[in-house]
Amino acid sequence: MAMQVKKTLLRRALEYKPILKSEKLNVWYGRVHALKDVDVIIPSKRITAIMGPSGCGKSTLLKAFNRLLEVEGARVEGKVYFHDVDIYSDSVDPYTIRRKIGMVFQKPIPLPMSIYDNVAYGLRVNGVKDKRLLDEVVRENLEKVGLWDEVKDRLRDSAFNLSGGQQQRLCIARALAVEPEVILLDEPTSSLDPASTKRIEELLKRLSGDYTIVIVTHNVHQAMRLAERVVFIFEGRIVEQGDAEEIFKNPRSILTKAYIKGDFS
Amino acid sequence: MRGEGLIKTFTFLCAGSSILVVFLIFGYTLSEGLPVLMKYGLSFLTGLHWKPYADPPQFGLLPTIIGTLSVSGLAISIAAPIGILAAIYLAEYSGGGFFKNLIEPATQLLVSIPSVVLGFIGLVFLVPTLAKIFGGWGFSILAGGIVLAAMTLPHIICISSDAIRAVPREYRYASLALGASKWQTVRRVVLPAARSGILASIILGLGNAIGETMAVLMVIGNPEVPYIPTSIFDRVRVLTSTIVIEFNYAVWGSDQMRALFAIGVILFIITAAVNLLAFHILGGRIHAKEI
Amino acid sequence: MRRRSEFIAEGLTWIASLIPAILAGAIISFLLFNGASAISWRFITGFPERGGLEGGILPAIIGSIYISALCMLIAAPIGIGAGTYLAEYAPDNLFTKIVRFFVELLAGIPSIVIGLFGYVFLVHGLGLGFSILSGAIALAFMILPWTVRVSEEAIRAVPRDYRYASLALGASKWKTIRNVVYAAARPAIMTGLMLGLGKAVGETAVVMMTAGMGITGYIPVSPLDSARTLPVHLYLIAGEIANTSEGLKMAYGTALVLLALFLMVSIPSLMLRNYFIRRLYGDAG
Repeated sequence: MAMQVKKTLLRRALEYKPILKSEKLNVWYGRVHALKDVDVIIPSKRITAIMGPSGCGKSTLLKAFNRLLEVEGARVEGKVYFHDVDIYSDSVDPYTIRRKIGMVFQKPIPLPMSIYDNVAYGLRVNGVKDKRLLDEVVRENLEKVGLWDEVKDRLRDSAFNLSGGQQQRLCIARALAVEPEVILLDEPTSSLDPASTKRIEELLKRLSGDYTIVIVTHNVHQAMRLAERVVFIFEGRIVEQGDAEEIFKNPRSILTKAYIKGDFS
Repeated sequence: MRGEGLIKTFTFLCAGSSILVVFLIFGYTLSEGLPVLMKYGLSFLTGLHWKPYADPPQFGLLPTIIGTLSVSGLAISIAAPIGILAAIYLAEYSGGGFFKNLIEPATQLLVSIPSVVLGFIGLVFLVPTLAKIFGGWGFSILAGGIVLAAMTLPHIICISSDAIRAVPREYRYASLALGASKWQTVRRVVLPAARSGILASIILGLGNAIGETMAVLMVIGNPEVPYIPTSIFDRVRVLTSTIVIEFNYAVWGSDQMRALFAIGVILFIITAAVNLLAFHILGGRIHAKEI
Repeated sequence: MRRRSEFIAEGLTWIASLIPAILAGAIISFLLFNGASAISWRFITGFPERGGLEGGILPAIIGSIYISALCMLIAAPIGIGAGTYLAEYAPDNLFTKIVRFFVELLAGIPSIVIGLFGYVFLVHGLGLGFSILSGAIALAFMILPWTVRVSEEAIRAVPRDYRYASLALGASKWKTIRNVVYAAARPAIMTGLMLGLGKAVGETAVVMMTAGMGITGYIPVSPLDSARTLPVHLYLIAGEIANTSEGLKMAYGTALVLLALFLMVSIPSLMLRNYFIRRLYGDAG
C-alpha cells in the first residue's frame, strides 16, 4: 500500500514538471473549430499518448506543439508553453521550435534522397558541413533506431528502397539527428505490419528515458502498452487526461470508458 | 530571415516579369504601328488594295484578313473533328496500355517538329502533290489548311482529352447503370459535360492557327498583289506571312514598316482575345503541356 | 444494331487517334529517306559554298546552339523563380490571378509579333543590332511562359508531406524549397526546360527578325555578332535554291540536322529524367 502511494506521488510530482503545456488553446481551419479551449500537460521524458476517435483533433493538437499548424493555414489562439516560453509569441522563431520538437508522421515520409542524406538533412539545413561530424551523427542515430546493421552497406541508396517499417525507423532517426527534446509521433505505426509495429514500440520505450515522447494513436492497446500518461480528446475538447494506469482502470468520463471498451473509434 | 524575404521578393519579381514583358511587347508594337493605323483608319482593315510601293502607297488588308480566316478556318475544320475523336479514344477507350504509350509520345513529337520543317515538307511534298491532283500551282488555301491542321491537331487532342478525363466518373456510372452503352454514354453524357473544355481547345487551336507563321508562309503562295480568294485552290496571303515577306524589304521608319507593325497589333489583339476567351472558359488554367 | 454503332464509334476514334502518330512517323521517315544522303562530315563541319548549294552548315549549327543556350540562360532562372512564386508563395489574390492571366497571354502572342517587338526594342531601341543577344532575349520572351508553367507544375507536384517533413526538422521555408522541393521537382523541371529549349531551337521568325539572316562565312563568337540558325537557313535555302536538285538535297540535309539537334536535346532530357528519378526514389520510382 505504501509502495503504491509512493509511486502515485512520484507520478504526480512529474506532472508538475511539464515540458509542454497548453492554455486555452483554440484552433480553427477556416470555419471549422478544431480544438476548443484545450489545456494539456505533457511531462518531461515520459511517453504521453493522445487518444480519441478519428477527426477528434488529436493530430491538430500534435501539430500545434511544433507550429506546423500555421503552415497548413490554420488559425491558432491561446498559449503553448515549451519550458515556460510561449512558442506562439512573436519573438520565437518557429524553426528553432521545430528543431527542439521533432515530428514523425503517419505515413513514413522519406525525403527523395539517399538514406544517408535523409539522416543528415536536418543538420545540413542548420548549417553543419563537417563531413566527419555528419558521418558520426548518421551512424549514431541509425544505431539508436536499430537500422545501422541493416543499411550500413547501402547508405547511398535511395531511402525509397527500404521497407515501410525501415522507412519509419529512418524517419525517427532523422528526427533524432537534430537533437530534439520532444518527439511528436502521429500514428506512426498505422501503416505498418505487426512486426514492424512491435519494433517501433520497443524503440519508443527505449527512447523514452532520454526524450519526451508524444504519440497520437487511435489504438487503445498501443496506448496501454506504451503510455505513462494519457490524454483523451473528443470533438476538439479534452475529456480526460492523467496517469495512464489510472485512466485505463477507472475512467472518470463515460465517453472514455466507452472508447476504451471499443464501443466506438 | 532576411534571406527568406529576399528570396520571396526575387520570385515575386520573376512572376511579375511576364506582365512587364506583355506590356513592353504591346507598347512597342503599338507605338510603331499606331501612326499608320491613325493615318489610314478603318480603311486599313477594309481596303481591297495592298500596294506598299505605289505612289501614294495603299495599305488595304481585307484580302489578307480573308486569307487568314479561310486558311485557319479550313485548318480547324479538318483538325477539330479528328482531334476530338482522337481525344475521345485516348480518354475513354485506350485504357492506358501499350497503345496509349505509343500514341501520346508520338502526338507530342508532332507538336515539337519545328514549324519551318513542316512548311518545308509542305513545300517539297504537299504542294507538288496537290498540283498533280488538282492542277495549278499547288500553292493554295488548301495546302495551308492541311499543314496548319497538322500543327493544331495535337493541341486540340491534348486539351480536349484533358477536358474529357476531367468529367467525374460518377456521371459515366450513372449513365451505364441506366443501360446506356459506352458510346451512348460518351455522346450524351461525357461530351456535353466536357463541352466547355473542347470548345476552348478549338478556340485555342484557332488562335494558334492565326498566329502561325513559317509553316503557312511556305505553302500558300503569297501573291505579289493580294486578292480576295474565291476557291480553296487560290493563292492567298495571311497576316503573318505578309510581315515576314515584306520585313526584309521594308525600310526602318517607312510607312511600309509601320504597316507591318500595325498588322502585328492586329495579331496581338486577335490572339489576346482568343486567349482571354479560352482562359475564361477553362476557368483560369490552361494545361501545362500546351503552348 | 447497337453493337454495330459501338464498333464503328470505337473504330473511328481509334483511327483518329492514330493520325498524329502516323503524321509524325511519316514526316520523320520522309526526312530520313531524302536527307540521309546529304549528311556527311563535310556537311556538318563545313561552311556553305556557292550560295549554299555545296559545302556544309557549321555556322548555322553553331548559331543555333549559341542562341538557344543563351536564351535558356535567361529564361530558365526567371521561369523557375516565377514558378516557385506561383506554387509556393502566391496568395490566392488578384495579383496572382493577373500574373497567371499574363503568362497565358504571353504564351498566346504569335512569335512573329515577338519578332517585331524584338526588332524595334532590342535591335533598334537598345541598340543591340541584329545579334545573337537580341535573338536570345527575344526567344527567351517567347519561351518564358513555358518555363514558368513547367516549373510551377513540377513544384506543385511535389508531395506536401515532403515539405512538412523538412519543416518539422527545423528547416526554413527557403531551405525546404531548395533542398527538398527542387530536388524532387528537378526531373520534371529539367525535362520541361529541355522541351522549351527544343522550341527555341526550332523557332524561325523571331530569330530572323532579331539575329538577322547572319553571314554564313564565319563562326559567331561574340554575343553581339549576327548569326544564322538552322531554321532560318532552311527557310532561306528552301525559298532560294530548293528548285535545283543540289539545293534540294542541302535543304533536306538541313531539315534533318535540325530535327536531329532537336531530338538530341529532348531524348537525353528524358533519359536524364529517368536517371534523376532513380537516384531520388530508387527502384520504387
